[in-house]
Amino acid sequence: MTVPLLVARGLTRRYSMKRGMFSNPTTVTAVDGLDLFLEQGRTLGLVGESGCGKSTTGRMVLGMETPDAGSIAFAGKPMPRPGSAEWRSLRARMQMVFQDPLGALDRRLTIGQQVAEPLVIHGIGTRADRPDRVAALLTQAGLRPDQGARYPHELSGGQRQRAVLARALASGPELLVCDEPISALDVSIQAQVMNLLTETQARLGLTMLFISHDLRAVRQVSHRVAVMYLGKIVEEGPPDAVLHDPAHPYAQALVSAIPGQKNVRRIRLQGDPPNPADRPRGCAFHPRCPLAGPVCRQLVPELKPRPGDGRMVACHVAQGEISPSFQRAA
Amino acid sequence: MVRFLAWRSLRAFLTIFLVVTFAFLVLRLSGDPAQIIMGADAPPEAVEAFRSAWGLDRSVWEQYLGYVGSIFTGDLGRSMRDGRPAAALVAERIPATLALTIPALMLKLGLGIPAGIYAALHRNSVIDRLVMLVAVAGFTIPSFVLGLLLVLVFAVQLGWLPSGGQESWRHAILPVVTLGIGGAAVLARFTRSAMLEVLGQPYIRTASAKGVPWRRVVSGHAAPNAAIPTVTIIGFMLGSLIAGAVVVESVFSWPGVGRLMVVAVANRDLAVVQCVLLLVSFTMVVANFLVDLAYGLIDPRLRTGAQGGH
Amino acid sequence: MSATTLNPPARRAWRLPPPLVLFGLCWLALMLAVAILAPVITPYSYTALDLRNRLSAPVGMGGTMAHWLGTDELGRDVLARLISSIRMSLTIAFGATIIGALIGTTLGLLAAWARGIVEQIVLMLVDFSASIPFLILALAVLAFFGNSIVLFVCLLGLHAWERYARIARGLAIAAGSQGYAAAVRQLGASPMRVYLLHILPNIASTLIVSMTLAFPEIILLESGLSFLGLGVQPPETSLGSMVGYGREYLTRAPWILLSPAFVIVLTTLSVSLIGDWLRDKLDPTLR
Repeated sequence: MTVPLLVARGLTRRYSMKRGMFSNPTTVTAVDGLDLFLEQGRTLGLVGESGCGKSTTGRMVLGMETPDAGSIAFAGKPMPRPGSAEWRSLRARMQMVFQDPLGALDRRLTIGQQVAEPLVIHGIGTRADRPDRVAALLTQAGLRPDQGARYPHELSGGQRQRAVLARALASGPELLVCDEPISALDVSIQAQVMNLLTETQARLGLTMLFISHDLRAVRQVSHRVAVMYLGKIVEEGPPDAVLHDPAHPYAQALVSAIPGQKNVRRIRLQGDPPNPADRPRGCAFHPRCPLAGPVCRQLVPELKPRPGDGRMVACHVAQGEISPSFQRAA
Repeated sequence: MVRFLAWRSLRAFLTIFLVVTFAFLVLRLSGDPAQIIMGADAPPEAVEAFRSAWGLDRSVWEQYLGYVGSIFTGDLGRSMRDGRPAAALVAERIPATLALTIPALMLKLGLGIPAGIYAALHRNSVIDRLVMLVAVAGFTIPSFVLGLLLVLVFAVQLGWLPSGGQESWRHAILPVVTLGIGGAAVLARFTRSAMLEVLGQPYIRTASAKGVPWRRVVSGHAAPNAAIPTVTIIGFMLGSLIAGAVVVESVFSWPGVGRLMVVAVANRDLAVVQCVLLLVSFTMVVANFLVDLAYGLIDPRLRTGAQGGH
Repeated sequence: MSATTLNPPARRAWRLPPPLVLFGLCWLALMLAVAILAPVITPYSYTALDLRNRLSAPVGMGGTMAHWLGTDELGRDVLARLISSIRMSLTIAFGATIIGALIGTTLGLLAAWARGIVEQIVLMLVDFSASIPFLILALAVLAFFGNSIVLFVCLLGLHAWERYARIARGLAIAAGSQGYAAAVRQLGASPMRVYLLHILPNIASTLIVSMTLAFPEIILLESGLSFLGLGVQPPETSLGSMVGYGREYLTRAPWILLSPAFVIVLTTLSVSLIGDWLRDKLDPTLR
């Protein structure tokens, strides 16, 4: 096993939401005591439905948000306070690819100027060699150097995402967080961008956190997959193993929902979609779980290796601690 | 709704408090009122006497507390010129001002809103363009120019109406018209753009596509929704019933609050200026409060939003 | 697949503005030229007396060619005074507009950046100044502080500052929470860089439109206060003080008053027309 570049322990992030002018603010726990590590030069795929806290996790990993509890260490050092000088210089080593490339680009500057910006900010190279660096970065990201003179609105969605990637790579980062990098793109472009990301990761030996709601996309790029549900990781393991033999009932439901599969019985989840403002007691998944027993309503399951194959899973049933009740399925 | 009201009241109170503090600070920052009033060559003992008479020899905090205290007990000081209570001086001018501003408000509403709605419903027609041009003109012609032009035409040239003073209702015609036209122009512009915005909404198109008669669409759906932004500006007009006539009263030598204010400013009669400032702020705050209430009545979203807040 | 075939260029062909706007632009250009060239083109000094030609009517109303627009009761040339007034009024309005935009934008961006208590204070001030009629506030300040031209410009600069503050804060927060500003911050840019190089250029068009909308309002305020005798003080003269002064001679010599009144109306009208047109063109979201 390689050395972790980033280790996060017990990450917790709460937001207080005001519903009315005077009502007491409700606390929403977006991320709840999450442990996570990123191995050097490998990709972790983080999957979950929207609202499960995966983007918040991504922002905390990057140090864009400070966790309410827990710690993050990047290359062995604690994450500095957002906005501090130390934090800013650390940006050169960790970068992000956004969901909406048009929103992430400044529409008043050319692509070239924006790709050059990290170089200027972090004082990389000389003024004279910047055009060459920018051209190289654009080429690397699959754009033509002359497209550096264009403005964001003059490019297609896929090209914009390539520009965002080129900018993210400009400072030579070790860590790249991709937050739903393809979900805003046309289906026809998605594969191209996915290939670019995989290839870039391998070529530069990047450490990557790939966040998506799309299990297939995650499988394509990841060396390891973590499934998130309501602010917690419920299952973690090698992508093929998790996809072919999911251990957690939620992961099973997700896998069964991938379209175009044969011989897979679709598991329809019961109950309401999860509401982070109103977390169920015990296992957060129990109201929708077909296997949940009385213990699940009381005790929060821990993420730990499963007896037998050692798969990391947070489920009383999968751990063999209780037998499935099938009460709902029956 | 109670919370909503409580919140608004708190904000209103805060605004008044800010105005009071502002008045006090500005008053202290502006230098020594004693010297200003008495003149640079006044004998020192007279200046001292003036100081202790107005409490100017105490510490700033004492002065501030005393000041706030006296204001909340209704004591707004005396005119530094003629020694009469400032509040009484101002109060006796209020009816004259209202005699101008209330008819002018009627004129604004009666002229501005129909013109705006008509222009919006007949968008880009000749009449729309004409209404808008007149509205822009009415908005850009300053009231003193308009007033003086009206005087020039109707008083000087034609001799139909008096040019100034307050002897009869005929004296009020020109100032009311001057005030009304400018406000009507603003209101027409505003109503038109609010109407146009609403008319472009999908639910209006849906309603007319469903076969609801156009007249019903306009009166039942479009107008109430367009009224929401328009209420704000009407509230502002309501709030400026006292203050809105400063210039026009001066043009027509109308003895209202505005005229009093201008004279007081010219004479640096600070107690009177302060009193008018507080009065105006108070009316404005009350008007804003009424606007918020009106919003609650017109817009059920806001009402339920406020109630839903547990 | 090249980008040009995918996305048509956003810049549309430059079309001539509508005639009224064109007229406004021409008038404004003329006013600017007059203001800049005032000392060169003025026929007389604006304080020079011509006692033999007192209350002389303009050309066409029985006046002499020596005084095209006539003279006032001291025999001062109305054209010369008008030119000087245009210079004065435009200078004040420009100065005040820029001061207002600077103060408002700075406070708005500050509120967006600092959040917390600073933001609450800015918002309270915004609420406060939006809820009190500015003319009354201005009158009160003039009463308390007396009058000087610098104070007067600064005072007028406070008009509409809250609009810029609102716009700047709102847009900066929107840009900062998601989108390009967050992205640039994430690159490691300093707040200065984020706000000055990215956010400010992006919101500039909206701010400029607000400035063109505030400019005529400031001209009206200035002329109103000067008309009341509380703004620009003699011997200096502005459009408003000329009207206020000419009012005494409304019956005998209406020309003293009519020419500055005409200039005020045409100038504010022009700027309003241009402002509306710019707003529709640059920023349809602003009302």
